[in-house]
Amino acid sequence: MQPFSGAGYDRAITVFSPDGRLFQVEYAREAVKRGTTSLGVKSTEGIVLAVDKRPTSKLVEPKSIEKIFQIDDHIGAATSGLVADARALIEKARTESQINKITYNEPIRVEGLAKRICDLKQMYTQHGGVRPFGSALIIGGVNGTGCKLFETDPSGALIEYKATAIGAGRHVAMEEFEKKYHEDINLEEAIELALDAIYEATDGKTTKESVEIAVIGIKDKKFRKLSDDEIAEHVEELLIRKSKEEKEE
Amino acid sequence: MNDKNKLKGTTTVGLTCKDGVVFATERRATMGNLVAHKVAEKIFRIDDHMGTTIAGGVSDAQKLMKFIKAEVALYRLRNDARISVQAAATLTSSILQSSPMYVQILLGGVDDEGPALYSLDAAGGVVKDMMISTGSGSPVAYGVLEDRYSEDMYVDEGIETAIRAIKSAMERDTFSGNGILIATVTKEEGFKMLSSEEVEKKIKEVN
Repeated sequence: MQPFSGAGYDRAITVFSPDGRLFQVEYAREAVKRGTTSLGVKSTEGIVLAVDKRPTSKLVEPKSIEKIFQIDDHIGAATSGLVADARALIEKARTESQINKITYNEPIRVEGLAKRICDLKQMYTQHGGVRPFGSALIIGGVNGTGCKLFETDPSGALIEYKATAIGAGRHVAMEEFEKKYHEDINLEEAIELALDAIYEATDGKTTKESVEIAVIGIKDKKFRKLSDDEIAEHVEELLIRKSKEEKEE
Repeated sequence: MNDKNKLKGTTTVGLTCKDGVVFATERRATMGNLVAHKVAEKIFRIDDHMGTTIAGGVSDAQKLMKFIKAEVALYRLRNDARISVQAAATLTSSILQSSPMYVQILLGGVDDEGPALYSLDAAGGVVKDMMISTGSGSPVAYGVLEDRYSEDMYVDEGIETAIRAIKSAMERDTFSGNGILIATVTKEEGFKMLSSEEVEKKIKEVN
């Protein structure tokens, strides 16, 4: 019997398979693909981060599910994949932000922070005795007079986006973005687009309890999670919009 | 560091002007009463938008300049943006705090916020000011600056004022002399070291 070509090459992450793949890193990416949908949209007025956080059981306190994290006053991140791994990365990001403040007496730049996080992720794909982080981060924030949005994956790769999504609903959400995103989108429209994408990615199972939204405005440079009331309002609008669209069809 | 050691030699001047920063120093390096070097370079380019002057121990100053240049270059590469003058001053202060060096430096330049000038002492103390002089000739230079400097000056006038201050210090301070070195940092031209011909011309204009 011919053994499958990668057999044995997924035991240690530091070992390449003969065709140049790192299986453990690919498996970590799979963990992200199985995660809930998280996304980020860049607008002319700031960044929008949104996540689907449907509880697995009615008994779970919805408030206790946290998938959007504040990193610094002006930076936040939406996560997907292993929550515990994400929390470890967020802790690192928060520390790096404060170190930057002590070193330079100014807020860390978004790309600088994203690179620091990716440096750590990369380290966990090359050192022995460790496993890669099973989570992807969408890091968004404000730099001076503009805003930036990055996606990091378990290999430590870093890509800047105008709008991006991670997790199980990535493909559906990205299709939605490609259809509707435009360069001069404002913050309200970006929230709408983010919710549209989550709605599509979750087959319409979006309720006011199932989404978490955060914004970082260019003007005030402050990370802020939307309140329950604000989210309820946005979701209500979304559902009205969607039912109208369906009727038209 | 006691004051007896602090003011061994050198006169440097840094001025914040409306459109940039002016640095001026004399060129004498001393070892006690000996003039050890007559064409010392006491102004350094840190980046396109930033420069420094040094006073104090030559080896410490040279080492510190290498550190700052490297850190500023790394910052630019990592963040895809040039470092602000404020951030560079904070960073230099941290370096000096962790290992004090026998230097007194001026660090200034132009960033998004406009022109800025900082003075750093041997132990990492930072002071932001509009007009600063360091070194043994600074009391003389300050006399001139207090009389002539104004915050509404443009770089051209700043150069003239700096020359007057350095010239006076060279006349009355034994440990300052052997000519003048001038550099400017403006938004348009960035860091620019004036050639010796340009400096000569400016000195003649002042006279």
